[in-house]
Amino acid sequence: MERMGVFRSFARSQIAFPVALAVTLVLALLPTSWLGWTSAPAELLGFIVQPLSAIGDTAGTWIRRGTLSRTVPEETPEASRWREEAQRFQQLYRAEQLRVQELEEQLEQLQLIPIEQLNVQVNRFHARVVASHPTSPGGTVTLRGGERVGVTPGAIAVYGGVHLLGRVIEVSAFSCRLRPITSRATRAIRAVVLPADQPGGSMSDAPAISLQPRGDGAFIADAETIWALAEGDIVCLADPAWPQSAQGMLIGLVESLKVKDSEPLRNEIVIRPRHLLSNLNSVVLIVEQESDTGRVASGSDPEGGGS
Amino acid sequence: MRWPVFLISTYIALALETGLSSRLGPQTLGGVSPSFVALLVVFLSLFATRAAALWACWLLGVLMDLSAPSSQAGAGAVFIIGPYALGYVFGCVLILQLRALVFRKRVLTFALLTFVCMLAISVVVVGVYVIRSWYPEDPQTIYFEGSALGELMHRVGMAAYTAVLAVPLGWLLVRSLPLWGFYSPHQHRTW
Repeated sequence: MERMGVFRSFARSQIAFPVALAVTLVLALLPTSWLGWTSAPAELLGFIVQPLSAIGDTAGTWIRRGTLSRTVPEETPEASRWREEAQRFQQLYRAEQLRVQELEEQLEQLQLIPIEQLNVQVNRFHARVVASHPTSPGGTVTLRGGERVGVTPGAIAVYGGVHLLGRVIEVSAFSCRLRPITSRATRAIRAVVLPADQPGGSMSDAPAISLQPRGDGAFIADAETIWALAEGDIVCLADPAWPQSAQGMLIGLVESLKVKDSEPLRNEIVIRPRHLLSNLNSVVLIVEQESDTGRVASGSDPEGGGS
Repeated sequence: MRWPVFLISTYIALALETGLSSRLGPQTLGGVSPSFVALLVVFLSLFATRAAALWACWLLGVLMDLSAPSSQAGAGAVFIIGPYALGYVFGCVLILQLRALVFRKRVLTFALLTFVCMLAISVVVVGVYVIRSWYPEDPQTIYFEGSALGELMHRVGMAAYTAVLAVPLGWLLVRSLPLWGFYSPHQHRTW
């Protein structure tokens, strides 16, 4: 009680607020490596606020009239299901092509790959968005679903089965934090470009590009003019730094091409995802299971270097 | 000021900030979204006593810092306590200087001061992030998706959007004055 009285006296004194402000200024300028302890109170605050913020998120989605991007035309539920199924099979086909290409490269080096590693077992979770970054539309979002349901760091988030949205960077007991694929904190992503009229085309023959997040929800990349890319071409993931289950997934469409002034033989292309995390209130998380050998089936650490 | 009312309002404002705010951001305007917590900052700065307003705005800033993570390239997220705490206090001090010169219960006053306050907050927040961006860190922390100037322009848009929202929400907050128990030794007839 005496300590509380001393604290109250200090809090009401004229020196208390300047001290608090000075401490805040010091905290604001501390190196990031010294601030790991702030995640604990942030997680506690998020846990407390999430129930109401989830309601606000639902209300906001209702106000925005739907969860689909405006680029997706209106269609019947059956047509939507068939379209998603067709895209899903196309993605599986592209992933298999990449796997075959990888196997051929390894066989050339006279390496044998155990057959068990070729079969990637995954768990899928439907995760609801409960909180978003308050000021940055490309910032991380919090999803309901954490360690208790089997979510692990590195899990990917998709929409419609094939549209890659982002990757889980942190997991707590009941929630996880997802970084959008379009965030500047995401490192360069390797991808291939397929013609719009041949989404199931050969991955090995497709031009390979390196995507850089531009910070406004789109990517930029360099491409040779001889590749004859066109607006509407499909960009798919082909990056060994991402899990096997993510290979071949759709990143976006080519939005525009412009010849680079400094390099007339190269184009600067802009790629924009068809679906943005900021327009969705739920996603599907795909978590790869460990193989029987005890190793993770595929994929490296979250956001490992893609070069 | 009745602190339980403040705590409940803070909870609601934070929930709206993290849940609803981003959904109200039109993609055609670069995703600018309103700030419900900033509305609370302005309201408290206008009507609470000086000490209560400063402490309350500081606390709101700390909670906002714990709700807005910064991403580290190729790594996880980090919460930096300070930018919003300092920004909200700066905005509060600005409003405290101006409140004697305005009709506080007018919604247009509320909206205009909201815009001014958010600009002040943005300058401090972006300034702190710019200073931090000079640190030689690995991995580098990403504080905003574009450039500092782009972030400032984005926040100017947020200030305008919040000022528009301040008209109806400011009216509601002013109607809730009796709940807050603000003590004002000088009762102005113009209230």
